[in-house]
Amino acid sequence: MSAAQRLAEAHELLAEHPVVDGHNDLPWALRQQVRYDLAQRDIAGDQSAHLHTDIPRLRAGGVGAQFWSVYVRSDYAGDEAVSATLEQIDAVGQLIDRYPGDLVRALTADDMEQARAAGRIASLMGAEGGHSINNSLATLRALHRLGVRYMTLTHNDTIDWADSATDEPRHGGLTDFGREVVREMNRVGMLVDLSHVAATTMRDALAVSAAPVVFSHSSARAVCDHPRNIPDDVLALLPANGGVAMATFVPKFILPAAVEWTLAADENLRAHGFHHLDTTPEAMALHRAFEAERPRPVATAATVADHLDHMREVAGIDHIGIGGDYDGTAFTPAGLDDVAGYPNLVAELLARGWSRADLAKLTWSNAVRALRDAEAVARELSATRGPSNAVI
Amino acid sequence: MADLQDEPPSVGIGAPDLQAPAGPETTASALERAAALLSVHPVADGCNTLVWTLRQSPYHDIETPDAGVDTDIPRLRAGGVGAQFWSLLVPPGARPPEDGAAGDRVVCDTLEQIDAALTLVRRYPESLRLALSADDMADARNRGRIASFLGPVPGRALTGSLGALRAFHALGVRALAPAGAPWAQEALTAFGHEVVQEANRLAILLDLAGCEPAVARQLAGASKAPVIISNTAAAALNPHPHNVCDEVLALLRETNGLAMVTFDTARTGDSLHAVADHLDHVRAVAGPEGVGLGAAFGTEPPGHRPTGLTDPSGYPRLIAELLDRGWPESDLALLTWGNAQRVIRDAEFTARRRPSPAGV
Repeated sequence: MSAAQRLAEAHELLAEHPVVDGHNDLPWALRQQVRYDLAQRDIAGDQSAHLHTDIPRLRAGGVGAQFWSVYVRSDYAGDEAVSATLEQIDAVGQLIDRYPGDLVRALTADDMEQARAAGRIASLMGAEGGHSINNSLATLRALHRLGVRYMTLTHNDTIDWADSATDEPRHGGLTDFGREVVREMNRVGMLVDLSHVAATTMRDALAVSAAPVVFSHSSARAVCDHPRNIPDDVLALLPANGGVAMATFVPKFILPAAVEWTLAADENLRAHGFHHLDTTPEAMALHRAFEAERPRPVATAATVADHLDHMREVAGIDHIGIGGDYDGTAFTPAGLDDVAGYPNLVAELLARGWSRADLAKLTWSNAVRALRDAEAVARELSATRGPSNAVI
Repeated sequence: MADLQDEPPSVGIGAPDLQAPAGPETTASALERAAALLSVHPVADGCNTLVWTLRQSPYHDIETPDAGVDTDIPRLRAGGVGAQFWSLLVPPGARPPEDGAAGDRVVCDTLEQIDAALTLVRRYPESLRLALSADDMADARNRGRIASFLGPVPGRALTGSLGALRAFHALGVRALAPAGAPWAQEALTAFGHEVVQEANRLAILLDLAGCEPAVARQLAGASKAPVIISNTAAAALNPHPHNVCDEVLALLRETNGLAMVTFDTARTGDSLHAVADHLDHVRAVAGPEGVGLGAAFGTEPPGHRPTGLTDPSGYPRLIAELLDRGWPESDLALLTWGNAQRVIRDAEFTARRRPSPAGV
């Protein structure tokens, strides 16, 4: 089969088994760029000058469901974090209302299937970091009622009840309250997302969670040793748990040479007074100047496929998925430059001998199943247990 | 039109355990007429703080009579209450000063209050029913449930964000109290005007309780929908700082708003008659369509309550007193139910009439 044939087959496959993407930061990009003035970034048309994401490219990429991240910066705390999260949720609602022919609100696995049948992009929400609930389980429940269907336990910073992968550990994983957060998420039917957390937190959460977990955007540590990736022993726990690890495309996590380069580039940004995650035009200009001096190692669809091959080996074909992190990363792999790129990844995997059935699990069914199973667990638990009002 | 269909069920008025009338001039026949009136036009009360009280003392079971708080389901039923706004404000001074100083809990406090209110309503499905609209209010009455509206939430909880207001609305909140918000201090700020517009667009009632008269006037003027004062009394009779002055009452009359009279010795005086005096005055100044009830029960005794109105079972005695004072039954029907339902419906009409905003 030629490359062109594989790409055609990838498109055909995605038409039937579209991508459920675990993480897209369009809401934050809209907040940063235009303060949610959606008219200024009309995603019905080409926004490639500003964004990785718009509807034509989601369609070209074969995306059938998207977990929109309602991320807020992890240096936000208290009410600031909570109200910013409410604003992010509100913005996703406006986005869905604005493009009813393409986006449809999805709260359940059934909603996802209905959206697929109707040819629309199921729009779900995921919160990124426990700071968004300000140590309040009632706030967690409010996020759930407002439609949030996963919460990443931490973002880049360790919080009062969970260690992050990219900060100093303070708890050795989850605290007792952290375990209670996981139990309450199980009870209400919100997926526990273990991207960003320390490996100790991953293991603690898997030990306590009665429902499948997800990694909304993390790859394999054995392939690229970065703390944002998943160690093999944790991947090996997924079959028993039923969860899904959604491989991310972020070059600085998945390509060893890019890890090195990024350390230096981040240092350069900070030296110029920027936050190292800044993606404003000014920050990007600095990145480009740095790149001119020191060429940036480029990841490709093959890099992502290397991770997926390994994750499949360790976790099994039923426990892997895709979480690109578009609009949440400054750089993307060649061929996966934006949300139109997923067919290139599928074509790469076809070239590696992945069957159509395997690919359908990767793109669509595993993630839908995890949500459906979490719903079943929630029904069972909420029949026997009332809301928790534990405090930290 | 659901409210015009079906026979409203009896809400248990005139049960044998009803206490004796408060005064000799309140005749048994007046009480019977009050009970009959309330069975058709139950009380829609504008303010009850039970949600916060139960969070402090979660061991009260409000399905048992005399639960240890002044509000429980048997006494709501005995009082003929058919709709209740459950206040989601956190009382001043309820938080330790260090928390207040950080200013870092008002959003979470509000989300926790909403969560507690929803839990309360779900816990007593035979008695309480979440109400999001005037139709829900009528529907709850027809099913013999107490329509439970969430609100107000404090204006401070918006923390400068209309997104937060929309989130509260999505969670079921239908009233907002600007008092204490930075955008409604001495004057309504530009953001305050935005809040009013957005509240109008969402059919969230503005509750002016506790607002300075100048701000109250601005809010009533800016709002395209009628405003309410969920618990108040007449400043002309008692110049308590939170009582409403005649000027604002007259403005409510002009704008079809509603002043809901509280039962509080410090604000109304210590007898049922004193409360009736305030109702007479508010009716005279704001008009029969501008007066309602907002007792502000929901506290642990001993509260500072007028004799005969120490808990929600007292409403029939108050209605009997007003009958004795010559209030026509049609005005009483407005006082107990009609006015509250009308302002909610007016807010909904206003919301439907207004175009969606461009952008956010």
